[in-house]
Amino acid sequence: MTVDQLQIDIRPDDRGTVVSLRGLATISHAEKLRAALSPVVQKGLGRVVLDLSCLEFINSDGLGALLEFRKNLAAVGAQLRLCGVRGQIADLIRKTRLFLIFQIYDDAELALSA
Amino acid sequence: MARASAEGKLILKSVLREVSRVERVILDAAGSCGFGGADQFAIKLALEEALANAIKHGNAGDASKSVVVEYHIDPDQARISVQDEGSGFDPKCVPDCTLDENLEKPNGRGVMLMKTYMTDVSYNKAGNRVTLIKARSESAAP
Repeated sequence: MTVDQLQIDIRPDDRGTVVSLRGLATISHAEKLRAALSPVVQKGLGRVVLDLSCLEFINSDGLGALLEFRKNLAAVGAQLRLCGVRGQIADLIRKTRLFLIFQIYDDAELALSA
Repeated sequence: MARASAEGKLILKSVLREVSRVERVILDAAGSCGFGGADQFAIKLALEEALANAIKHGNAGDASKSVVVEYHIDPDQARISVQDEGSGFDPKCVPDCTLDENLEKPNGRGVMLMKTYMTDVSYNKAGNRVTLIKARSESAAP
């Protein structure tokens, strides 16, 4: 596993917003994650895609932040879609049964255009 | 070449920034004993959940209180215990986070994740010390 770092990139797209998480969403990063996602909710623009293809680790607090993000987006009429869910992260989503809650697509392009 | 075994005792303050230091020591030891990627993910996840519970709930975020982590890792298994200064809890009383009615709740997954990713999870009678055991996966053999 790489060093304990989480990089959050937010890219506006004419069809919505793509948020990419890269690295490790550890216990130390939950507040950083929530703080970074909050402005995306305030914009509340249509489709919001969370790209997890470069995410190596997430714990229950991080999953909680994603669930709060989804709920807050829904409250302003925006939809959260996940993409790039694979490897250990896919296994975690399966074991927690969160695949029943999140809309999941193969990649960001599909998630934006579906 | 895998090391024969590693063991130690770490005492940390109840602050979240201490967690990464403890994780690094234990994951390095697990790596030296031949625990590979999937096992390291499982140990890191369970350890984070145990430490988060100890710091946030057991010690209620009181930085003057300590969390004690003891570990013994050999090429067969990793055994890690995490003890806080709280009054403990009954893990049987934690709601099942995988039930449909609980899926959207943002918290309450820590105990489930520890049980799911570890080979065995047990608590002392008081409920303020959890012991995590992870048997090394065959596929992770050095």
